[in-house]
Parts: sequence; C-alpha cells; structure tokens
Amino acid sequence: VAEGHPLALELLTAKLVTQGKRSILKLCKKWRSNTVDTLNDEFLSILCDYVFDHPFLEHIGPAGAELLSVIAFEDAGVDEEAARHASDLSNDDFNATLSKLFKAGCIRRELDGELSVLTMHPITQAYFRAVSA
Amino acid sequence: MSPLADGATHSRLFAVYLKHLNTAVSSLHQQRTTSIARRIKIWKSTWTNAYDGRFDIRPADLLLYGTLLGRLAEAYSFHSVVEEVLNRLAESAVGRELWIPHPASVLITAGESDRRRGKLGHAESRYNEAVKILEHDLVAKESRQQIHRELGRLFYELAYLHRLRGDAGATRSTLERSEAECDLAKDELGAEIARTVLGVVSYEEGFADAAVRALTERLSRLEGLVDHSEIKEAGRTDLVHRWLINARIHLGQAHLAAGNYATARQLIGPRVNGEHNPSIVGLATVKRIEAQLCLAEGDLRLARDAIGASWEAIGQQGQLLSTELAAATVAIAGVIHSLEGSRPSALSCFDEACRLPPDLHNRRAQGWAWAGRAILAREAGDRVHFLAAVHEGLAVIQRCGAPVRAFLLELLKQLLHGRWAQI
Repeated sequence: VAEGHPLALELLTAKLVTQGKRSILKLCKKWRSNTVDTLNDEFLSILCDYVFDHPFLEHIGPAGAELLSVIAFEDAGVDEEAARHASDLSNDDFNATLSKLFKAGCIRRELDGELSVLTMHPITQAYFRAVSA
Repeated sequence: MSPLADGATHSRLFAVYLKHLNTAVSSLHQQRTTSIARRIKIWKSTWTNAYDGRFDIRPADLLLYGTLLGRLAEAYSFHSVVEEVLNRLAESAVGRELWIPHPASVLITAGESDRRRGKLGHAESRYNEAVKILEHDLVAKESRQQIHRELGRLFYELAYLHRLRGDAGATRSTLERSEAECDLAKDELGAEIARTVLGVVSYEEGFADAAVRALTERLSRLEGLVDHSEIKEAGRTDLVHRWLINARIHLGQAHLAAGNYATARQLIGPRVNGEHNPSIVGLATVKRIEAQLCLAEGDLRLARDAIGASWEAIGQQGQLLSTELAAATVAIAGVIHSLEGSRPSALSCFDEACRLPPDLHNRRAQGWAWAGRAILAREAGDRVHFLAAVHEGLAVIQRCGAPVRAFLLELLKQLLHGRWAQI
C-alpha cells in the first residue's frame, strides 16, 4: 500500500507502532495490488480514512483531536508554546498528547530560531480540514 | 470521521497570539522580535481563520488583533500581510459590519497605509468611503462632537494626499474643511495643525509674508497648548511637541522665502545643529533647508556640505524613489553644481530630480529642475531643448508651485521676445 509514497509509508508505520499489527492486518485486500500509479487523491483519501479511523481517535484522545483540528487549519503552522498555553492541559498531559500525535506521524515540528512550530504534511492537512469542516 | 473539535482550543490560541502581538507592538522601538517572518505568517493565518468565523472570539478582539497585526507587519515591511489584513478590515468597515464600531477610523488607517505605499488612488477611495460613513452618522447618530473630530482627521489626511499630488487648491480646501470640523469638535490641536499646514501652502505658493504672519500665530498658539489640561488628559502632548517643531521649521522656511535670512537661521539653527535629535527623515529635511539658507546667504561651500548630508540621510532611510520631497534635495544639488560651473553634474542632478515620482510632493522641485535644464539649454544655445524643458516644467506644476510657474513663464516670454541674454 505504501509503495512509492513516503507519507503513506510513514502513516502506516506509525499506525503499526501506535496501534499494533492487528490494525495493519485489517487493511483491505484490494489495496495489496496497488502500484505507484494508483496513488491518486481517491487512494490517499481512503488511506487516510483507514489510518485515522475510530481507534486512532481513541488513541489520541479529545485533546489530541482538538490540537489536530487547530493545526489542520493553520497554513503557517502553530507556535508550540502558544498551543501549550491554549490547550488548558498540564505540561505533562500536553507533552503526552503531542507525543502521541508525533508517533502517529500526523504532525511535524519545524524549528525557526527559538520558535518551535507544529505543522502537518499538506496531504494530511487537507484530509483533516475536510473532516473538520 | 466526525468533526474533530468544537474550536475552543483555537479560540484560546487566538487569545494567546493576541497577547504576543500586543507585546511585540509595544516593544517595537526597543527590540526586534525573533523569528518575526514566521511569527507574522502564523499570526496572520490565525487572524484569517477568526475573520472567516472558524471559531468564536470577541468581535472587539478580532478588530484589535487585525489592527495590531497590520501595524507590526508594516513596521517589519511585510506589505502583503498589511494589505490583506487592512483590505479585509476595510471591506467589513464599508459593509458596516457590527463588529467594527468605528468604520471610518478603520478606513482612515487603511488609507494611511495605502498612502505610505504610494497607492494614492486606493487611499483616496478609502477616505471617500469614510467621508460618506461619517457624513451619514452626523445625521443619524448623537455623538456629533466625536464624528466632527474624526472628520477633522479625515480631511487632514485627504489634504496630505492632495499635497503629495501637488494640488494646492484641493489641499487648501480640504485643510479648511479639516479646520472647520476640528472647530466644531472643539479639537483645538487638530484645528491648529490644519491652520499650520495652510500656512505652509501659503509660502509654497509664493505668499511668503502672509505665511510668516500665519505661522508666527500658529507657533504661539501651539506653545499655549503644551500645558493645556485637555491635551494632557487625552495623551496628546507628544503630538503638540511634534507640531511645535514642524511649525518652527515651516516658519523658518517662510522667513527664508520672505528674504529674512537671519530670522530663518534662528528658527532652523537648533534643528540643523542636531539639538533635538531629529530622525533620519527629519535630518534630510533640515539639511536641505540649511542648504537653501546657505545658498540664499551666498555660502556655496556650506550649501554643498548641507545638501550632501541631506542626500546621504535619504540614502540611509531608503531611497530617492520612495522619499517624499527627495526631488528637492536632488534639484538643489543641481543648482549648487550649476553655480560651481559643473554643467554635466548639474544636468545629471536635474535629470534625476525630474525622473522621480511626481506624486511624492516632488512637483514644485521638479518644476525648478526643469527650469534649471531650460537655463542650461539656453546657455548651450539649444532652443529646442530649452522650449521642451519649459513646457515639461509647466506641465508638472499645473496645480501648484506658483513661484516656479512665474519663473518658467518669464523664461518663455524672454525667449519669445528674443531676449536670451537677460535670462
């Protein structure tokens, strides 16, 4: 499924790491024959639906979902420290939430001097925007 | 998948950014905010989401955030951000959206920003929208004194625009309106500012003695406002001090135009000697005036030093193309080269002055630069270029610069009467 597409590989690996091999084994049989030329919008949308399913939402929790939703709509990313203040979570809880999102492969961290910015891959960002709208 | 969140975190993030913005704006003159390019992009994105109603926030915060962001982005020269934020705010102001309590004020801010970017047409259209709104409010609302005050400020801004474009008649009429509106608003400082600029237009248009009388009175009235309790309570003391300095310099220029060189030097001297730590733009101006004064007094060496300092200050600030009145510095440099007998340098300066954007308060200086080119052409016996320079000069000062217009017409008459030698 992930062949030729680094994002798909990253997302599926992250799912394997965070939710165990059973989550991957459930992958639809029809995808096993997919090749690079089928990595179109429809494929990615189905992939994201599969990766970011109900167990995923349970795994990241409501705080994670809130944060994902915020990052999804911010074109330039989110100031990590500002997000920490805005989250209403304790430092430990915020760090734990962030850690789950990083491990799930759905957010990234970019450093600009002392500024730490939380961002998303444009494809996952488009997906989360669509589901959050 | 169902929607991920209800937007509460986004609303709180907006509030955190608003605090950061406030800090960045209030420390603008003390320190540079780190990673400013990325921060401004981040802050702008969140403001856009709030403006589009993606999450709930207090309407007053949306306006405050947008205004602070616009100011900060302008200070750091992120012009596309300024434009986008102010365009959206102005659009909502024109639509009389309820979350903007003073739409005219927003339009004036947007117009000022356009004007600073040289988009005079855009600025004028914003100001005209603001006039419509305020004139409507004058009938419909009860807070008339406040509305007159805003109209006073608005007509001052329109006058500034007309002055940049070199339209002396429109400048006068809008300043008179500004003065009247400020009087109705009992805004003494606003009215004095309008009267001061009316005095400036007087000497620019050749009424030097009248300008001396008017500006002497203005200076005295402004001095009287320094200890005014209402001014202090309104936090406008700094503005009075700024206009006191402006009025002194303009009075000095009016005396210079009237031929009272000693009085002009007394008034301008403290600024020239750097006693009041002028800004770079202020330095460019006072050094240019000093050069004019030295020229009038016949001291060519000091005039050359002063105009060199003025030109250098413009270079430090930005560039000739975007500096108001830069053509005056360049044209005066041309006059000095000409008096020193350096024809190519003089011609080069006059050419450069004529090429600068006219609508940056450059038209009168460009008129003089064309006059300089006409005289150099006459000296070379070049009748064609002489006539072309006179015609171009007259075209550029169609609505201002009565003294240079009279000078160019005199040149033309002498040519037509075959009296080249008398020019």
